[in-house]
Amino acid sequence: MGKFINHQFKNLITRFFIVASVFFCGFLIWLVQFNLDLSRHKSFRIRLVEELMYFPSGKFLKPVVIEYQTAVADLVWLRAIQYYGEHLMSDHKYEYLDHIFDILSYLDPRFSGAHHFGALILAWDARQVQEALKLIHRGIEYNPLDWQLVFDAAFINYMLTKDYLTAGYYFEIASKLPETWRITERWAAFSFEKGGNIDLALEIWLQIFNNTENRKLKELAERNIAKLLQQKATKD
Amino acid sequence: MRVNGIILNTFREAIRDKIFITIIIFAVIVMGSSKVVQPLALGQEEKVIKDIGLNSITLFTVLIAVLVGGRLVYKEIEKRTIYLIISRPIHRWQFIIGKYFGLLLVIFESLLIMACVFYLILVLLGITPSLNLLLSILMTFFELWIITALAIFFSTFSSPITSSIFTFAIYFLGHLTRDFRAFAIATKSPSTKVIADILYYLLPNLANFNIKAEVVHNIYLEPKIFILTIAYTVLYSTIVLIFSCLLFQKKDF
Repeated sequence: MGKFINHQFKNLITRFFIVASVFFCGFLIWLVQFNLDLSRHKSFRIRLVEELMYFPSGKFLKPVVIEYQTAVADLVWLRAIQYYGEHLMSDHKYEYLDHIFDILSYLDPRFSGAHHFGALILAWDARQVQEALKLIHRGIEYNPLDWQLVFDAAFINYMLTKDYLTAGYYFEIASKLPETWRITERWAAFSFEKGGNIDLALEIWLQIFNNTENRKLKELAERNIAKLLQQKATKD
Repeated sequence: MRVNGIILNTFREAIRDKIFITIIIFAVIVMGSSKVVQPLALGQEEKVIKDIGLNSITLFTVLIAVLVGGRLVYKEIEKRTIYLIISRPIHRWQFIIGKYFGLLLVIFESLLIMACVFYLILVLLGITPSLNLLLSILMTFFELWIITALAIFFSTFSSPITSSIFTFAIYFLGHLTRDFRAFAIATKSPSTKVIADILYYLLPNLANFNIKAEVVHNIYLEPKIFILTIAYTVLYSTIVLIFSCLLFQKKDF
């Protein structure tokens, strides 16, 4: 009887060990897989960073890709969108965004859409205002008639660097370019006024007053001229 | 008339070439794949599709010129069909000229096919196909005049692989000549300046033919540029062909 109990006990212990071993192995498998997933995720991030670190500079890439610069610029553009999207959905860190758009700008300096988009996300999302302005200046250099790029420069200066006089200067240039928004001229006047250059603001409002046939716009200009003249008199 | 016969024969032979057919099929697939890129381009679909089309046309026609051109003369020597040709009342230079224009005809045909496919893709994707794009394709054709002449030149004295490597090297360097010029201006060493200047004028200035960015971004190009580029093409190709004929003339069979 004692032997039987002893045998049963041994069987139970063995079964327990087998079940425990299975559970333990299962736990180990989960642990290994978890770590694998972690390291895979980590290596993906490292890979991404490394990829961009070794992404050659635009100056180097330009001669290497010979006459296929525009096609390579398009590939970089697709990569830029992907990079921006990935970080927008995750950590909101855009460490290499500037580098990617720098390459793009070298490969296809006339790609104004990329300069426009790049500058705005660099300034707003990545908070790299100086890099955004650098990109936009290169864009303007090669696309001097694109009002939107000049407008972007004004907008970034107005909203982020709070340099209202520079913003006013860009708004004024943008207002004279083809297919521009008509409102940019008024924004130039507002910017100059906010920057403290009342004379320039006054000059622009006078221009608006003299050049428009729109009754409402004339009234608006008139009101602003009166206000600015008053400000000027107080100042003097 | 004898040259015409060689031209037609080269054309028939080249279009039956597996490399030619494969490249054409591949080019059509690559251009068609621009549809896949369309939703990823974030508002720049038109530019991306035009770029893919124009760059594919250039890349694949350059491949045809280099790979098919590099084998043209060598194949005749290897198969010993050259003995049949030179035993007939035909000048050796006529053979080279015939081969050259035969291959140009093949390239013209492939450009035509690719351009039609490209325009069809643009229409199917709802993009207005501007005539400006044809200017870029035309410039690619002129660029290929020079590349084909170089491929034939190397083919007269080297194996197809070596000939293709040489032609590719010149094609690559030909797009860097402006950098040689810039280097010549920047350098202080007189000997380096002379070498850089010699390379600038000796190598074909292939960057002249690249107007893809201007065409896609709708930038005005002066007609003078086209006239001068065509003149450059004719002169450079003629010189390379003269050298090819001279080399082929001296060859012992």
